[in-house]
Amino acid sequence: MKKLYKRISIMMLAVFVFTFLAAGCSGEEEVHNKKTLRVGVVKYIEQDDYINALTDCLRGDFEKMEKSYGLHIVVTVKNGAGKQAIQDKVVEEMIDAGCDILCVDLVDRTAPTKIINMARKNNIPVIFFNRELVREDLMQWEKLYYVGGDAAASGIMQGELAAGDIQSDAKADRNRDGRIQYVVLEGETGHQDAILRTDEAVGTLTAKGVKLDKIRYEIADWSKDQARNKMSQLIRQHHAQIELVLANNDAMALGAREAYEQSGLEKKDYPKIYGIDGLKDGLKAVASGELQGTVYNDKEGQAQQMALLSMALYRNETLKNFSFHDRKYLLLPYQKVDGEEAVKRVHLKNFSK
Amino acid sequence: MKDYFFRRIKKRFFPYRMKQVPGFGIQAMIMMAMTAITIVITVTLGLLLFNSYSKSLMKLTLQDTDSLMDRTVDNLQGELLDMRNISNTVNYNLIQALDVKNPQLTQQLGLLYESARDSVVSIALYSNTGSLIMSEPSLNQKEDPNVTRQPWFMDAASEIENMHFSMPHIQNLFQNASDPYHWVISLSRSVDLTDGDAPSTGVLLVDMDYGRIKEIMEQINDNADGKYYYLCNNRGQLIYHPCMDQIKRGLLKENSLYMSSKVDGSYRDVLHSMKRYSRVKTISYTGWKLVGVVPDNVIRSSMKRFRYFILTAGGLLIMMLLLVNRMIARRISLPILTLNESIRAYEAGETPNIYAGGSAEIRYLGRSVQKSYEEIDHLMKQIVEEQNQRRKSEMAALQSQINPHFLYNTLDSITWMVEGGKNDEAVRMISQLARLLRISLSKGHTIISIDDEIRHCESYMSIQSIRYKNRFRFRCEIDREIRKYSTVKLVLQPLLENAIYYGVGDMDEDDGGEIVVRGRMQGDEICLTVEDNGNGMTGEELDNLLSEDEKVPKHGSGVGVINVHNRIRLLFGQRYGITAESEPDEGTTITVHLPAILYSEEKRREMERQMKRKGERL
Amino acid sequence: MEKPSRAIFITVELILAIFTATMAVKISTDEIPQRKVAVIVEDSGNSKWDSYVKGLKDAAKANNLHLVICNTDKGLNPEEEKELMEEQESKGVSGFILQQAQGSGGQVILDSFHEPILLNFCRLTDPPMKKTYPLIAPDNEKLGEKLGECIVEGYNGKLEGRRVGVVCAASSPKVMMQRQKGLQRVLEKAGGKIAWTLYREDDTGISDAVRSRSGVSAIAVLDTESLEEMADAAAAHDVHGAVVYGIGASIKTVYSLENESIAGLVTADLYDMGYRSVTAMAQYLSGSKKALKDQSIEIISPKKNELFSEKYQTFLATMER
Repeated sequence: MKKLYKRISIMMLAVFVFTFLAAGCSGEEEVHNKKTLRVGVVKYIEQDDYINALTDCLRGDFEKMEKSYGLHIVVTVKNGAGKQAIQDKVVEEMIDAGCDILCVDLVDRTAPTKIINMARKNNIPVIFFNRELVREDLMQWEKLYYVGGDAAASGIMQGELAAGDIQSDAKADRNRDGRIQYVVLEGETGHQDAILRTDEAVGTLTAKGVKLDKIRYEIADWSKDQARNKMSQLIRQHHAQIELVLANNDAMALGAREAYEQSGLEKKDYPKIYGIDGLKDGLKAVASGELQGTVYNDKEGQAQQMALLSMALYRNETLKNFSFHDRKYLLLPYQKVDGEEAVKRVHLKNFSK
Repeated sequence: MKDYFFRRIKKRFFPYRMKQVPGFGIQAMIMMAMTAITIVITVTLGLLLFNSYSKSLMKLTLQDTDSLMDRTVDNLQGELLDMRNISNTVNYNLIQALDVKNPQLTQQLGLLYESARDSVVSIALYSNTGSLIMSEPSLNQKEDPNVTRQPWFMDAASEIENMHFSMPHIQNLFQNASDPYHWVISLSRSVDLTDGDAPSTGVLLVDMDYGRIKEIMEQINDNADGKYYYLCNNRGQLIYHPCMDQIKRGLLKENSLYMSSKVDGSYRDVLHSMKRYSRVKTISYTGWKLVGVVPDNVIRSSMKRFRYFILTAGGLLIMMLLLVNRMIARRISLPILTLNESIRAYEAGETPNIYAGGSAEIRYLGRSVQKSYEEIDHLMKQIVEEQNQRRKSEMAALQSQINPHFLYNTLDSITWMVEGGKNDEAVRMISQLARLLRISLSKGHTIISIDDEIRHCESYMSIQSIRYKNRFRFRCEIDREIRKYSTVKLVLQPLLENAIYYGVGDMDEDDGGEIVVRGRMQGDEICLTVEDNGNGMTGEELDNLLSEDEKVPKHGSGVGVINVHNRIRLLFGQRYGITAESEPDEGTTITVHLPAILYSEEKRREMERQMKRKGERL
Repeated sequence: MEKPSRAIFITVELILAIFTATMAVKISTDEIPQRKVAVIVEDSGNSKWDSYVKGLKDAAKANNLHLVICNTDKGLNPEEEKELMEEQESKGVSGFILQQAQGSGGQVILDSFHEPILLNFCRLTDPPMKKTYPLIAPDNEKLGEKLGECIVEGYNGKLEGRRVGVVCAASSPKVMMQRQKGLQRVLEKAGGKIAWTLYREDDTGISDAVRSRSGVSAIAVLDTESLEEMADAAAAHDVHGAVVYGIGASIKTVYSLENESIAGLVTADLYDMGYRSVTAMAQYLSGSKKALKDQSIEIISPKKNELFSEKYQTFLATMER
């Protein structure tokens, strides 16, 4: 009798254990499709010329890799509409639909946690680009990387360009007061790149011995239209006094140029205008002399690194051949572009690939 | 033989053993009762718990909704207040204070805009004719925005003392290729501005980013588990609804018109055939209503879980209780069942070894039953013994009735007489023998009159005296009156036989052997004596005379005396029977004690019936 | 009685144990696991699908369906579509809502799946079908017709002698063909004719090719990307004075109508298409087998001054994120 009871209780225990185990193990296994590499690219916003250009390069690079690696690559490009919450949702949906590598340009560089957690849970490597994370966040997981340019360096280069031109051109200081009256057109308040670019550019000028006289810093939202309007206002106020315009990006620099062209002032009264990015329009403007210089943000190089890194991560290959800073950062150097020759060089180097 | 009797007895006394007992055993009954109680209690508890939980859960959900809504109302009011503050600051600190052409105005406006960029899309000042005076951010105006026909402008112009919040709409003012259709809520007011010398009026427009409201509302709607929250104005027009697009297209409906007319509180309504609670909270200044909808089935999933939990717990509980019930039932009933088993075993024929354990009552029962069975056993043995005894007695009686030797010898004598030509003597002997036999049989009766018994003795003795050639004398001294009384037949003849064989049989003629039969009444007792003056018996032989022990040496077959003794006692009781006295070489006197019962036919029948019954009873 | 009672007891205990275990499992699992529906459209991240996706999502929420929008690239071919469908099938999807990929072998691929399939945008009919799949989409021919009507209206009903150039996308020839058919019908009825048709490849753009052509009064553009490009070209006065009309479904195209880069816009209510598709699929999966049938989506042609009307604002609301 005791024996039978024992057997019964063991049976019941087994039944319980089995059912609980079965209920618990309901997680799905991610099917790793060896034939197709699915890349999910998430921009921070829909309309950003620079990012769109970078994405196009990325697409092209992946297309070329399809042939050389004999792999089918699907690149899906979505964006976060300027809100981190939306970007998080987009990433969630992409992971849900099946994704092997993520490339994310964060809306809010201080809030990557949700995305990192989701990627980690599904074992999907993330390559952050353009907007740099805080170092601690990037170190949370081994499969997080960052590809970008050194924002500080771009500011320094802009400053060097401007300093070089000013110091070599006697006519730069039009009112001969020994100081250069200047305006800065900034991208956004609190934006890391904007701050660095502004600070470094101005700092470099000062370091090189150029005496500056600040007229205005204006926020123009990285936008040509806004920059133009703001510039127009400033022109109305200060007329021909402005001798230097530093813009955080090409679009705003071009806007400033347009403002001057619309203002009715003579060309000799135009200030020196510098931008950063090296987009098509910007390069064209530098080549034609409308802009005095820009700093080429090597989006082609960045896109290529992102593509190569994606492939290496997907195929679990060694990452020895990548030149990482601090194990995680792939930073591509900027290039000064100060005239037609430089533009040609850039074109040769990058656009003929 | 013994077993056969045992079985017969058992069968007589336990006639129901062969049938199975119908109905439920004790264990099943206890189990059923306890199980029924268990189930009733568990189910009742479960239902009560479920019910009270669902009520509490609903209450909690509503409270939760309430506190969430309070926070949201604060949040929204805060946003709207910020807008109003901006509008006030611009109006009082800038527009009223400065001339519109003052560059400081633009600067300060720019500053203000920058600080509020998160929630403000644009701040713009229009003249009362609808032309743009200034705006932050500075964008180009659209070609023909038709400002004066836009609702915010008309509201501000019509009611100049208030600020007006508009419904969410797409901003239709500036050229903005990168974001041409941005949703805003306009806060507009009429302002007095100074343009040069001429004071005039205009409209100050602060366009608030609808995305802020949307974000706040989306957040509370996000993980709401079936609840949802919407915002409408005091005319029921929706400002935000999680299914806004569907409602605008007529795919779904909402009860906002009804709710917008209500003061703060909780209301029941039905929509799309779903019952729900709608909690209304008013947002100050605008008269907007925040409505939180809690459908009745929102707690359904938690209730479902809880139901399964209760069912699991209930199931577990019942399982455990069943087990415990069974153990208890067994504990209680086991002794009873074991007792039952051992009784069955006993009935099946095994030795009585009744289980005596468990509770005191069971033990008592066990012992009692054991004793009863032992008693029965003993009594059965007694019966068997008495039956045996009776049989023996009967046999003996039978035997003694006709002593074959006597018969042979008598017949021999008769033969000798016939051969010797003593026909008269032969005839006499044959007629005596006949009379003897007649009385011996006595028509099968056991009880005869003493008179008959004496005649039998006389016949017997007459035959014997011929045989024994008058070596002894015989006489009867019977009181006349006792002849009418009853006796068991053939009590005297065996005694006479003994007296002859062991008493005077081998005495000579000269010795004067004598056998006397006396009979008289003593009180209510009749005493018949057979006295002889023969050999007598030793003290030991006297004692052993009435002993039934077969091993004890006796005279001859020795059955006679004991037989008579037992027969008398069997019929009349232990008081009566045989007593004996003897002296070696002097003689022996054997006395038969009988009760004084008159002989009659009925009496005889009655007594014989009694005897039969006595025998059966034993 | 001993043995049977023990057997009954054990049986009852076992039944209770199974019952209890089942209930315990049900505590932790969802009572109704959401059914999954996969949506496959090319270039799933493109903003022109924003209102379509919103319609899909709203209907999914209302019908308690789990929606999966497959990650796709520009240019979807049948092999890719098949791969995606197979992958989703292995993940337990209950139904598909598809933009049928252009290319050979498309129909056969669909036939090989037993889950219900609903088509959006267009239905390809070759190779010869074994099964007809239901289509919820705007009628492409009608889209073309409406565009034609826009153009005719733009010339006050008289198109005699006028030549119209057609620009369309090379990636979906079937759709373009249907639209052009409708367009042609209306134009020719009014006396005009189609001078040339140019196909835009995804990576090269079309404005160069258009620039090299000339001699048309109007350019009719049959797809969103091409229209966006042509609107830019028109704004930059790069179209030899031709007036641009087009079929498009993005905010940019609406804005180009507003800033008069283009003179006429024809669009369809993609939100509605998404919403109806998921609703029909949900109804089908809940048992009403007749739910999956052809439905036609409303075609809208807003005028510039109507853009800020209530109705159109509702329409625009679905295009923002």
